[in-house]
Amino acid sequence: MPINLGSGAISAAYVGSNAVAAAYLGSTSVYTAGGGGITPNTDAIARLYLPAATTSLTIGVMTSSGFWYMTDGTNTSSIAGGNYSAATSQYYANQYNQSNNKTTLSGMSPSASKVVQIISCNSSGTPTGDIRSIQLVSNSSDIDAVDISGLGLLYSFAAFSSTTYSGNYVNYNSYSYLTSSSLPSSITEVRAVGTTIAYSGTGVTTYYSQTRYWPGGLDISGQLLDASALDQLYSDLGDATAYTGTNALKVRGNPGVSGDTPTVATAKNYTVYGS
Amino acid sequence: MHPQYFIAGERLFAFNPKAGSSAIVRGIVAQYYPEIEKSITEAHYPTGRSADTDQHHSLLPFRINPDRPVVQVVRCPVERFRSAMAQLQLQDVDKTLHELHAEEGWGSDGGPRLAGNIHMMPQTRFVGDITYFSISRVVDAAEALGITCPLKRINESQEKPELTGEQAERVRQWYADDVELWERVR
Repeated sequence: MPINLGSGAISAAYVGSNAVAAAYLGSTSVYTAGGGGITPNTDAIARLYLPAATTSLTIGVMTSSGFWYMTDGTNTSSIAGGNYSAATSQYYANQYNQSNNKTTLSGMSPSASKVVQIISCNSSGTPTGDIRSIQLVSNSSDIDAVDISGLGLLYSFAAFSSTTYSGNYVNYNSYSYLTSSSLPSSITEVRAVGTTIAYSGTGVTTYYSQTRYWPGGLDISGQLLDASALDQLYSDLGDATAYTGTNALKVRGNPGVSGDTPTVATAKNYTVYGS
Repeated sequence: MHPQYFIAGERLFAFNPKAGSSAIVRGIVAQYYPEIEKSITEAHYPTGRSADTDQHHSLLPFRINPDRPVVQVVRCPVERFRSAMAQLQLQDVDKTLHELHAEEGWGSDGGPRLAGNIHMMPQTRFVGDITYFSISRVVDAAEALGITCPLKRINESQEKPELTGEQAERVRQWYADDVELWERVR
């Protein structure tokens, strides 16, 4: 049992402390909830913070270059992608169902926590382009925290937990073809400094023969963000006033939804569901 | 292209954009999906927006093959084309018609084919046991779907382009089957 688990006071005392983060890098005994666990990076690389027990990660990503990969610094995934059409600039939601826009990073060490970087690249793996969408719901093991800071414009971020949607709620999310999740309730923090999660458009488009909805937004329903972590996320997000989509932030089921301040986000043209 | 039918109890509603769909979808949510209704009415919206101003199509269950009677609202093809142009923020009528015919990309980034955009797709693409209503009878269509609450006016396009007679005729030619349907339904 990790020491200090659940101590919000300790977390608050060390908010933003790089020294503490460095000292405990790799330690599974440090409490990371409540918005004090990670230091945001703004280098256009998304980061996932994984506990020691998570040794394999399967996610889907959409990028402007059409390709991407992930690495924990020791292990590197295959390059995924190929469904993007540079000629027509089509992105769409198909990455959720198309296996070639998902990939797995395996073989990670079970003895320490780790940080996985998500990197947009070309077909050869040379970093280029921008991350446009991330879905973590294909993953079935714990993710502690997420840093999507510095990504500029992100169309969508889907990390709702496996217990989130049932019955009619299966249709509650924006991604009409993304209605199930394998992701546990484990994420305590999402940082998005300067990243706008939005989409301009009609909200309805077509891909091949099927209608797809693409309102844009974030869905972290069923995760473990407390009120301070939710407020930190609202504060981090970039202004979405210029974007005409729904720009939804779906936070239902997080422990902080009764004490958060959604007006911080609505002032930036987001609609907050579940708070 | 698979048409899409929203499930409204014992009926289906054919998703025909720019023909009152946002208002009816709002009614379907209120009538048949209390959990979704709760989620959208309790959401926190930016100033000036609410559950009755936003579109909620993405929240509804739907079918791509009708398994029960279908209700469809039909609009004058020329008026629907004008509304679709406004919705998609297109201003050049001739360019839009060219992109439709040539099946070229559209938008500032040369995005997906305009002809494949759901707002530009024919109204005659739906199948099944369809009961048609002209857009002037959208309230009757809602009633046929079992919706008892008053309809809201949602997503009304603004600044529709004016068409010359020649341009309107080209629209009618492109949507010839829709014109025939409209003449039957109006």
